[in-house]
Amino acid sequence: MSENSATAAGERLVRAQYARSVTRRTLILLGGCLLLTGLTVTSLCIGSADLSIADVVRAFVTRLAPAAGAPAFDEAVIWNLRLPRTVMALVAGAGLAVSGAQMQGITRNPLVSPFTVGISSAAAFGASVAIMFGVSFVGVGTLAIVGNAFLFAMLCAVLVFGLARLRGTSPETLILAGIALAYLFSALTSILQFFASEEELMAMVHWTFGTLTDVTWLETGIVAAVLAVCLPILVKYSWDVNALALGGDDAARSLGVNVTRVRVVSLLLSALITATIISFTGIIGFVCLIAPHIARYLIGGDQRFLLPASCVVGGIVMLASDIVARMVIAPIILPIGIVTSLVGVPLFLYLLLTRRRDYWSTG
Amino acid sequence: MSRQVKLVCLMLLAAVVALAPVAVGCGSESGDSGAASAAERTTITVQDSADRYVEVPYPVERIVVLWDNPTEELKALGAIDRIVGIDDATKAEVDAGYYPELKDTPVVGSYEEPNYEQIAELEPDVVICLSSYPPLPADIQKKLEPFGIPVVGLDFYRTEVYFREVTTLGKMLKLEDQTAAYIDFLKQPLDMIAERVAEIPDDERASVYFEGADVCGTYGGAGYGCGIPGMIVAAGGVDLYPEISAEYFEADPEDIAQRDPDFIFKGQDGGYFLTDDSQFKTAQSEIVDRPELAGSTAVKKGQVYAISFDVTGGARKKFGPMFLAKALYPDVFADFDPEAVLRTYFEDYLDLTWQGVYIYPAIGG
Repeated sequence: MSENSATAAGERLVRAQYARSVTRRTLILLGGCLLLTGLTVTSLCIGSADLSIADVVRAFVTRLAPAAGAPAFDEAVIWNLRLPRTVMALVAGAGLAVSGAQMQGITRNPLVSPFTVGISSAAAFGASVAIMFGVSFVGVGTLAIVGNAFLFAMLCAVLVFGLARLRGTSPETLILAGIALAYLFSALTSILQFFASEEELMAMVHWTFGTLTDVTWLETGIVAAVLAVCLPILVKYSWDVNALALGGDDAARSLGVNVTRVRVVSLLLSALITATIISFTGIIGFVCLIAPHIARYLIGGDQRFLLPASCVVGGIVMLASDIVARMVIAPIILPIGIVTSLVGVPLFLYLLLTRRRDYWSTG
Repeated sequence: MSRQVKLVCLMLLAAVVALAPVAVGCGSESGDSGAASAAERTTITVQDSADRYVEVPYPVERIVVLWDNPTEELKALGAIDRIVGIDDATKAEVDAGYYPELKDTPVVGSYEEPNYEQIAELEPDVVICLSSYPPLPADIQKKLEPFGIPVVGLDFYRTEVYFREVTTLGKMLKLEDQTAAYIDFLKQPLDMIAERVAEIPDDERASVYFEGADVCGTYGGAGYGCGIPGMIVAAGGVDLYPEISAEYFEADPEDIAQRDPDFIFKGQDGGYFLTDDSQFKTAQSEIVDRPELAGSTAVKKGQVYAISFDVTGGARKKFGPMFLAKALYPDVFADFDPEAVLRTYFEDYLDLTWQGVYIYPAIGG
């Protein structure tokens, strides 16, 4: 009898602890969402045009309810210039962070991101090919550039998977294959740049900086749609990734996880999300690497919480970087890819130097 | 598991809420009525260097420039007071002392990242940008369409379309007469050079090695080569690498020596603000001292020059053939003084004091 009650008491204690930790994490998530909302409002209120918060709100509402009567100029500034940029920062930040979190989970390596496995180099190469061999004026072939960047990014992901499969899709082979392809595409891009004309070279380099300035609503919509489709699938694999992280391949298999399938699907979906984003925005570095780490630091390594937290943190990092990029030397706007790298490096080093011993485990 | 399901549902709900403005934005993106109050003004349609046909007010009174070449052309045409917004490259020139009239003109970003809000606030009649560097005129136009601001792509550095671009600019400004006189002033020496150069037999044409900022860095003659090979050909010379199509590449020094150029030109940054020729002299001696070039015709005959990019680069490419032709064929052009033309350009068209060093050794008047 006493043994049972002791066990029951123990059980209740563990359940209570677990419930508390879940509540804590949920609160952190909600706090993050609040911060994100605050940043969104800030982003909409910041800009060279002199608009007060009231003007911003009125302009926002006028598009939906013309009776609000904001001047057409304000409406155009909010709906055509600031909103697309802000929304793209949110979805792109979330998408890149989630891809990074998933890839780090399946490879159990904190330094992995979609960029590490060559996706950004391949996309840059694809864009350069379109710029060099597309029609003479790059603009007419903008669709060609976006399409090519996406195509080569996905090609690289498939190649990484194919190469790794020859060796059993272990994390090490995935990473090594990815690094090799990253260097290959980088070298190929350099060759193209060597023979490019002045204008082509500038276009190629400009593409690699990463910018949110010219995003359109259509592009934002496509990124949001891809994310909306892929995210639930990644969330569904959360427990499998937890098992992988806790015990490794063998332990996960013994728990019934189809390790190969989880890895392949995660790799391809992460590549899809990343490729979609960077083919529109150019290469925006560090978000996919740093955001999952920040999320992990705040909320632990449990993939069920890590994925939504990465979305929120990714959105925050991207939006904050965009605000900085627009404000620091206004009216000149820095390309956001530069800001995320400059902001990301010290943050990353800080986390690296101060990480706890159990930082990398779940819970 | 149910908590996880709830979380997913919450996220999907959030996604739908977030996508709602996207749907609204997408739906209203095409066919925007335009926010700018378009007053009834005469307009004309011009063709820009990106092969676009753009409708602009006639004349344009308020101009935003996204590069410093248009600024110089507007100054030359006496219309610099119409500029209401400048980019950071122009601002650098203003700070250097070139355009005091633009001291208080607001900066609207750079050619790579234009600040669309600022541009829209200034309510310009037209934005002049580069025709083939991103963002392209079509992309900038997409962003400024709701504000009713036309965008025209004019480069003013590609010699083959330069005079057409100046004519287009003059038309937009409604300064056709001034523009014609300006074009005449520039074309007259260039046409004269073309005439005389046509009479030089092929076997008497000088081969020219033009080195850029890097050691052994030169321009491919089969491609555009930043316009340098074209300048050499216009001056009656023969480019040392007519078969290479790379824009700018590092050549093998042995190969340069083997091709034995008749003339060597070393491009130099700096020109207008130089007070003495020491920088150019050093650059020139460095080439003369290269062991592999000691036996070349250029060094043996003392035909090595340091020449400023102020007369061979960017908007000043129009002066390149003048200086090169005079250096290559001093007898044919004994009566021609390129510096006199440049001086008139600076004093009469750009309102600048005549100064600077542009070529060493001096090529005489």
